[in-house]
Amino acid sequence: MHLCKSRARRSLAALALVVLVSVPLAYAGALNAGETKAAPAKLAATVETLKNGLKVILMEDHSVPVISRWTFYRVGSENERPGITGISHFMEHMMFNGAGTYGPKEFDRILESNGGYSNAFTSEDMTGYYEDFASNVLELCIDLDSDRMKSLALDPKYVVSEMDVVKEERRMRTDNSVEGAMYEELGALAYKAHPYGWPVIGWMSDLEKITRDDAVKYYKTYYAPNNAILIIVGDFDTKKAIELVHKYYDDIPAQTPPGPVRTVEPEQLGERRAELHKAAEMPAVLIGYHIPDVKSNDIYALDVLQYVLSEGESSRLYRKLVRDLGIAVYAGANASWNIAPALFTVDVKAKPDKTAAECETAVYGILADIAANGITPAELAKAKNQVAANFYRSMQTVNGKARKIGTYEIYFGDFNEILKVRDRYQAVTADDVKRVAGKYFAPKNRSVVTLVPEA
Amino acid sequence: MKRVMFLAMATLVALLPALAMAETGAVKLPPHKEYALKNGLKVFIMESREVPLVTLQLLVPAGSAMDGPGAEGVANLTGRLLTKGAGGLTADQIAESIEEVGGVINVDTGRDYATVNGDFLAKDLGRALDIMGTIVLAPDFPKEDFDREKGLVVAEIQGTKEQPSAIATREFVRVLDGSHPYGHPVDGSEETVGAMTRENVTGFYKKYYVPAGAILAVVGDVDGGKAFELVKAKFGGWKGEAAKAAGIPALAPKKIPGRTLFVINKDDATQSQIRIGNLSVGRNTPDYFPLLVTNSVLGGGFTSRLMDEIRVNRGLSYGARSGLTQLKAGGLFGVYTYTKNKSLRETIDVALEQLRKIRTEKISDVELAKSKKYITGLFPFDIERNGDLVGWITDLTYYGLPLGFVETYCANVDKVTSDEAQRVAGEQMWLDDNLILVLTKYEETKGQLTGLGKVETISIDEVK
Repeated sequence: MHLCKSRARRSLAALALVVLVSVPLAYAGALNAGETKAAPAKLAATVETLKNGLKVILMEDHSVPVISRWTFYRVGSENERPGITGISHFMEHMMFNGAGTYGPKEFDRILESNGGYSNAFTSEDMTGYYEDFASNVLELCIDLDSDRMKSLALDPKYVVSEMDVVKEERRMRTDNSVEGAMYEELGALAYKAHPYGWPVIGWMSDLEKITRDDAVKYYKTYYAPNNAILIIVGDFDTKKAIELVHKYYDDIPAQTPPGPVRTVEPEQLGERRAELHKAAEMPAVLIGYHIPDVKSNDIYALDVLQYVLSEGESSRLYRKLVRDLGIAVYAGANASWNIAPALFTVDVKAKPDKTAAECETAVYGILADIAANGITPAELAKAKNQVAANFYRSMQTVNGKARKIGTYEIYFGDFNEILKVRDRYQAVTADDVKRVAGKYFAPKNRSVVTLVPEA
Repeated sequence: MKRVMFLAMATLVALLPALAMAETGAVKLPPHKEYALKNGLKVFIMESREVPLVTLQLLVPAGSAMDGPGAEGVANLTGRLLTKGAGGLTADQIAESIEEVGGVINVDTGRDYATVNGDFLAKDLGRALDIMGTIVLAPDFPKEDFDREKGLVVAEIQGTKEQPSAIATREFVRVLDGSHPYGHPVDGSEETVGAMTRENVTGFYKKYYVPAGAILAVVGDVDGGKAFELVKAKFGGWKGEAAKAAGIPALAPKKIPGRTLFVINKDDATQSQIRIGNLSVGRNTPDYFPLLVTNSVLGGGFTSRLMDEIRVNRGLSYGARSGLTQLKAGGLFGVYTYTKNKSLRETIDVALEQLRKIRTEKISDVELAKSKKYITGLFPFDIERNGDLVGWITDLTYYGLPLGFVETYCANVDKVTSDEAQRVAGEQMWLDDNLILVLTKYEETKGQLTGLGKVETISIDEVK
């Protein structure tokens, strides 16, 4: 069910594809596909950090009279602990339910009455909020957002009803979804120690028990200006916008910075397997391999590998499993970008009369072949062309640019990394791809969830 | 999808053509030209030079409404097979030649029409048109690929049963539209697709993949004149006459009288899907804008009445909306939501109360103004990307509407009065004459569902 406006939306399988490619518009115009140029060192953005620690990044783009305004908080499910899993995402919901100046329902009502749109997301590593609106509503949106950073109400009545909403979301995405249930199972299997092992939406028993008090503490710790990044991209005057930012955010006090996540996932020393019995029509298998965090240089070769494996109908997984062998209806791969080491996943839905085991064997054959023989020069060139084209597809809106700036800030601590990423992809060699395939696709590094369909 | 989790990270991929927009929210399309080839193909070229990409869309009036009895799913299968061998190239060769330059081509089949969609770097326009022309003008339908694709479609239809929301919506349409050509799912059923022969597909292709009635839009960083020459060179030789029997019988825009509760039982469901609605008017209704605004008040956005009452006030669901499905020969109006099994009846009752209210009480000026501003404020985002623009161009042209529709859209929204809103609510948003479809664990919810109307039940396994 689509709950928001008719915006483009992609499947989970396409996730990394969008996350990994980016280019600022001003820069994009200067590039020709297939051409590698030395990137300028910095983006044309104004950066200022307020006294309370709020980092502000402003980038003017006057191509259309619209603005996208974002606030990113450095908080996600990795900051939770057993007992309060899902609280990061719950906080995301509560941020729309009233604060000191604008009470319950007012955020959406005022924004929509002014022709604006808002949404938000929570991941393992971050929580992001945005509004898209016409240029002349900037002050209103700054006012609305600063109000909830300053003085979130956490009205007890809405704590209860909003948690019911979240439980429905969990029932929809996970409990009544074969794919959602499999991903949850894989997380719990692949991580013995690290918080990435529990689902972003949280375990149902925690959703039942999280209290208003838990939320108050979480808000105070993580929703502080020194734990946030404010980004505005679009049709505005930087000087005036900076004044507005000072006017509305200056008086929000900083808080003691939260500590880092301490736990490091220990090396996996043997294959892990789990079965999931669930009403389903098709057998399926979901395989996860531990890979390094987003700052590792191996990430780019792993992304190229993801393209070679599953981008389009000329990709290896589709060609082998869907076409040549005819054993699967879908086969995809995804290399995760995360602050801490996460997973490279391969996801296959078998044809109803085939088995998950057949599909699994075929996947291992493909991975072993790449580890032994590498990829062809044509495959490497194709992946790089696909990356280049997706550069342009992925962020030509003010919203896309602001989102990209925020995620790069969270991942790399510097949004200017956006400019270096393209060169890193172009530098990947066939040998790099072969090397990472050999290094990470070892049987003892994998966790495997097999779906056993029940009538 | 508000307040979503990680999935939302992958959303909002968009291009910004050079749109001009006045302060009132009025929109102006980038410069474009319209051509008609001798064979009947209409061509639109729009220069949008913001990014070095080009997007193409070819609309062919070859939707599932043309399937014919017994061959449900043939339009979809035909569309899927276009890229699976053409002009002597194998499926692998076609995929390779698209993807080696970072391009994408996909074929989508709907009820009224099919579209072939391409997205390429602008420098590859020639290649894009060459491949699109080849797959549309000269598909080979190799037997082996026919068998494989047919098997995939059958498996995918079966797989849909894993998706409660998709099944509920699919069956909602099937029950409401009945034996009308819009009634069956676009991809057909396991039975009809399973029995399909290659001749069904070649016959369908010959009859419906013809230039008369087809529309090609090219939007991107291209020189309009040169682009048209390339189009003409590739598509000028497309032959074929418009099918004589073409035309979809009207889906009576009248309500189906009385109330029916249609239950799909799924034993492992912990959440129930709800659909409430009836037949409605098609895309060319003169009430397009009043319906758009009224629907927005009832079930569009995050402050709509349904969202407010079902989600915000009661925590009954993550989402609740209403929507109009408008096609050439008719349409549907429906309320779409879901809730835990325990609160199934409560949620249905809340939704019905909102239908009663929208039918009987005038919308206040404040609420009407809010909905209009919400629609017009966001409209520029609906025409941001090349992909949005090709969609508007082909869709409007297919339905016989001028491209200026986009430019007067906001003004037309602003004109809607509360009297009109109330009139269309009374005419299209029914209360006592409704299909209420639920997908639920019936054993658990049966007791709640008394007194809603005549009951029909089927098991999820009986869904075709």
